[in-house]
Amino acid sequence: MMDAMTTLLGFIAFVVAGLLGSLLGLGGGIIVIPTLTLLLGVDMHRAVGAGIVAVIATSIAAASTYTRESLANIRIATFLEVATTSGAVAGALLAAHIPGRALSFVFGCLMVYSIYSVARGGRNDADRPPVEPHPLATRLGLHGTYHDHQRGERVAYNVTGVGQGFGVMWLAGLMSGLLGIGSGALKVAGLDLAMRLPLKVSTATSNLMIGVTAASSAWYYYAHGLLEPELDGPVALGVLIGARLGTVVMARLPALWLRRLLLPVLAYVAVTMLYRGVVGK
Amino acid sequence: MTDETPPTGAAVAVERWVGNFLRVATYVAATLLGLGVVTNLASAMPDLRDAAWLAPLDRGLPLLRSGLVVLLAAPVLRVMLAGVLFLRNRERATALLCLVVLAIMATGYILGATHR
Repeated sequence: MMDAMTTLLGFIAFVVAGLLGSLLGLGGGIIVIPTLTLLLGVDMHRAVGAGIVAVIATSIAAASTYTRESLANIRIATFLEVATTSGAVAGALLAAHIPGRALSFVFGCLMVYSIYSVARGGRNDADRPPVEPHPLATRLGLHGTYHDHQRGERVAYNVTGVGQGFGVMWLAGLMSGLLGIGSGALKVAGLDLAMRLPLKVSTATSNLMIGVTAASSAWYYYAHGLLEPELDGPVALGVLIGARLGTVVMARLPALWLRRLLLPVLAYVAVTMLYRGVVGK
Repeated sequence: MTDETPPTGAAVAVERWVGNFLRVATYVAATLLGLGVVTNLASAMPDLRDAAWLAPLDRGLPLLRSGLVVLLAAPVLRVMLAGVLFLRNRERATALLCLVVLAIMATGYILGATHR
């Protein structure tokens, strides 16, 4: 029997995971899985199921607000979900045939470049030079506007790099199918690097997408009795509460602070991937 | 094929509908899970462990399970809802993409875990 203090600490960690996840467009697995395995002594196999549930909880709670506020772009999400989901299926199918180490290394390098790109970004998204609208993006109505509460004005943005974005998202899906790490971080990096979206739109749209990639696996886990209500229920509850809080913080957060928060997380994922690439699993 | 660029009014509607649906799903899931966690904790307390009125709640497991099902169903239903709304907006290409996403999700489910 775990003592009450440890359980409470664990629950607080789930809330923090939801909070950070909803701000940064991540699933929160970076926090949920170590909390379960290291703090609460849950074995890795069971923690992975809880991690998938956490991804969906973050996605649903965060995207409920971001979609209403047009911060998450549902057309971009739909277009790119084709890439992320098919990449994930390919990753699961080809797991035995793909050189996972080489791919980890390549993605580690991509993450390092994305850190450079995010760090270089101006104080505000408005400081970025406007991008040339892509014809397909125009045809699909991907360009958007959102209201930036912090700046008190409506921001319009164009979408470019549709092909590169689709490719990077397919690879991000492939990585999550193969290695199961950092799929949210890769999506944010891809949206930022390839499609040059405002950072808040990148993280919010990533939040909307991650739930869909995780849903197939979650149902598979559920149907095969691999989800444990007594473990996954409290995790999901904590993450839902945290993610909901995160959306309130997001409205008041300047993009500069979002960058400062995002950088160490991207750095952590980059180091993990480079490590896996060089040393192996 | 008609022009795919949606009028601004229609574009907002998809976002609002999907956002509201996700909000309802969030609150329903959180309520079920919250009640489930409370029941689960109460059932573990020495004073209540043998309470007859608590027994039918089965340590809150049905509540926790329903909360998880609502959570797991939300992303799938969200894509379906968006697909229907895009179709109504005559954004046929985007509606088709929703259908493709659903098909790939189904494939992923049949093939097993696609995201660990």
